[in-house]
Amino acid sequence: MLFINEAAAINGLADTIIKGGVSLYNAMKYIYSIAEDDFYNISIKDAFKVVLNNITDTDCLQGLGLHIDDRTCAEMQSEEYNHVLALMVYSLAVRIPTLKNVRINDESMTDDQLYRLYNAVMEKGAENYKDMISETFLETKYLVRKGKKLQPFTADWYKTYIYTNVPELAEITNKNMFLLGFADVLFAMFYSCLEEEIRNKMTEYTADNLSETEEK
Amino acid sequence: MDNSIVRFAVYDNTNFYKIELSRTLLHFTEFDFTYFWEQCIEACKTARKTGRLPQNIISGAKTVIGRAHPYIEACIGTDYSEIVTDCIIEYICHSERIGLEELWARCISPKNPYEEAIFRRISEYKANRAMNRWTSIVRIQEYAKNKMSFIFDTDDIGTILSDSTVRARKEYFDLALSVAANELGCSGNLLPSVKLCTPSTLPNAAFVVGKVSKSIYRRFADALAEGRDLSAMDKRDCSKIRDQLAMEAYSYVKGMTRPNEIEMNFALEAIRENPAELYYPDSLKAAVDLEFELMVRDKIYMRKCENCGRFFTALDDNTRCDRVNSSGKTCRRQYEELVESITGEARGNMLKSEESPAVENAETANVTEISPVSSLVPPPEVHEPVVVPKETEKRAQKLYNALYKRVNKGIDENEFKEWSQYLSNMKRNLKIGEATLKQYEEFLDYSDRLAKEVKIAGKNKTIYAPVDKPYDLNNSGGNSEKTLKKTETPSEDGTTGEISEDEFVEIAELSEKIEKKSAGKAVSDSPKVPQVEGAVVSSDNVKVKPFTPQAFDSVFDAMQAGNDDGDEDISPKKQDKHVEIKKPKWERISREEAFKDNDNDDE
Repeated sequence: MLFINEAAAINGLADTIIKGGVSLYNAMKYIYSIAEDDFYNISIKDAFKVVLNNITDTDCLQGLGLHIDDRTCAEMQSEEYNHVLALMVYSLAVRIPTLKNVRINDESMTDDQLYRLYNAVMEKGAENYKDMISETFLETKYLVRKGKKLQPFTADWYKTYIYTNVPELAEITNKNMFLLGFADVLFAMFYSCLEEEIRNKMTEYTADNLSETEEK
Repeated sequence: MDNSIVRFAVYDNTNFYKIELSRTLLHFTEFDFTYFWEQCIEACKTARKTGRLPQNIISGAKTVIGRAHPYIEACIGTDYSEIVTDCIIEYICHSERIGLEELWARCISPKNPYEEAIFRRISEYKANRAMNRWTSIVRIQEYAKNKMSFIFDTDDIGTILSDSTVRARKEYFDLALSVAANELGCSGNLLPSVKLCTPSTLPNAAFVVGKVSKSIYRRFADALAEGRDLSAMDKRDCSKIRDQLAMEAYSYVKGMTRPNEIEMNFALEAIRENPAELYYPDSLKAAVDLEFELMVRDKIYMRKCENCGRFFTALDDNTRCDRVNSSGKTCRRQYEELVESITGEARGNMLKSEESPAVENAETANVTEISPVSSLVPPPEVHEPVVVPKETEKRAQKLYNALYKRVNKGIDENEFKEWSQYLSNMKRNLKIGEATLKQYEEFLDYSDRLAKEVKIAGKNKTIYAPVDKPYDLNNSGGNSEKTLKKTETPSEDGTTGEISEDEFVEIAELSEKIEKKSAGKAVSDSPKVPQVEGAVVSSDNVKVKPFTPQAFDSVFDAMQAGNDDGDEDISPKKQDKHVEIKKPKWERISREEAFKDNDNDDE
């Protein structure tokens, strides 16, 4: 794919993926905090609407009056849970080869461009901590090339990680059950919206007015 | 301390605020929010352009709304801090005909701080963390108006409600709300309420009585540092374990002994400044209800003004308020002046009918009450338009001109206004058929006499126009006693007597004769009348207005004042006929002649 400024485009796309990972990570915490005080006050549907409309806004749920602190999210404030962030970004990074299917002006990203994008994301801190995610970049690339269908983006790895590494969240409590329930739905919907966002960004970077957009 | 003032405190504020019973309520119910609304619209328009809410307009608008009620003022930094945003949200929804949900969805990805503020605020509504305070204030104002009307309004004007009726009405109104809430499944403890506290038992007492609290804390700091953290309880429903929590807190200060004298005196000084009793309303409605409750308790009632229809604090039996109306006077004053002007005339005539001795021997005067105007002027029952003959109209116009000419020269400006108001009312009543031609002519007859008296009074200020009450009518002479008993209102048993129209006219005619006589006497004996500038000369029974030199606007007025007897029409057209303007005769002189005169003067 021909970008007007390829380096800027790669960086921009990497940035979008990273922000998406952070946003998903924070959204989990914010929504988890609902179970503390606002279970009957805040509609989970509203929370989803806000998150999915602001994919790259990492603290958009603050607007809904939610706060992350030691009281509302005490179980998520552990060192082990913090690795989830790197894992989330990694889970998105390994799916970068799917961008090959995005065609703009009858062009798609080259393998080289996709690889550079993957490396850019990995350099910014993505990590397959304890090999929790079974998918790899090469595997996804192979499946895309062969035109095979990928596994849907699910929260399976997330739940596995929690059960095995974060005992506070693995405990059977009202709050934790709520977390595991909404995680499945949020992961799937979030990925779908992120794909849309990346597609928009790619269109933006291939447009003639790239420099003007950047200035803005 | 004034019983009509109570003090209250609010959450998150260490100051005390006061409610002036009935006054605060009246002020709130009559508060005009238009200016606040306009300020908010302006803030909205500015924010749309700049992307930010203009802080200067917001603070100004908040100051304005803070004046509506002391509770709003107390909470302007907490509960009402977002009231401008609330008003803007209401304005947008109202003007664009959209719901809150749609506006929220529009701002879900805010592009600027203004959209973010709106999004946050609506999110708070959705999460039951806040409500639209602006619409709430408007609704509570309506609630207060309705409650006031329900309790204090009467079907018959002038009816005075008994204490038990007022209380019953208030209780009934409150009960209706409770029944509705109960039927809707809203438990009573969710509704607004007021606590009666002292400064030391307020929920935020530790901060309200801060100095003493600090000294107490120092005494028990060590023990409290090791205590169980109860802050988590704040978020839970602890209504069933309140005593348990209180006793747990008390267990840390259980061994407390009285402090030394210095510390006790320090506490005494600090506590003495605070009020002994404080109310703690948890909402604006609670504050409004508190005022109603205390008004009923202290028997401070309201009444609807017969004139303007607005409620006022009923301090006596008066049925008119002390608000200044469009006439520039209070409703009460306006009524009193109307009563004075009509009954004063009747009374003045009566006194004069007893001739001058009545005035001179007024030492034994009886104090009499003035009958209401309504008893003197029975309401007409005619309802068909009355055609007024042209001659009568001309006569009225002549009278108007005659009296207008004498304004401040025999008749006071206010009196003239009253008279002309009466005339125009009479004309209006004729048009709508609520007055008869006879009544109109009677009024003109009366005005004729008035005009004559005014003319006489204008010539000699010692005798003033009768409408201005030159005599103190609270005391009437012994000779007039008989007449007064017949004409004036209250008899000894307090019942109101009425005079017939014929009697009224008879008295008026009699008084006219007497006045003419006394006017003549006054002119001839004027030096005998005490003349003290700026003071009312009074004996026990007589009060005569001081002599003031006659003032004229023009030379023509001065001439007219002396020799215009019988000439009533002094309209400007007629005036022109009397004045002859002669052309000046100019003689041309030379320059030398002119300077010659000047030189001679210098020499």
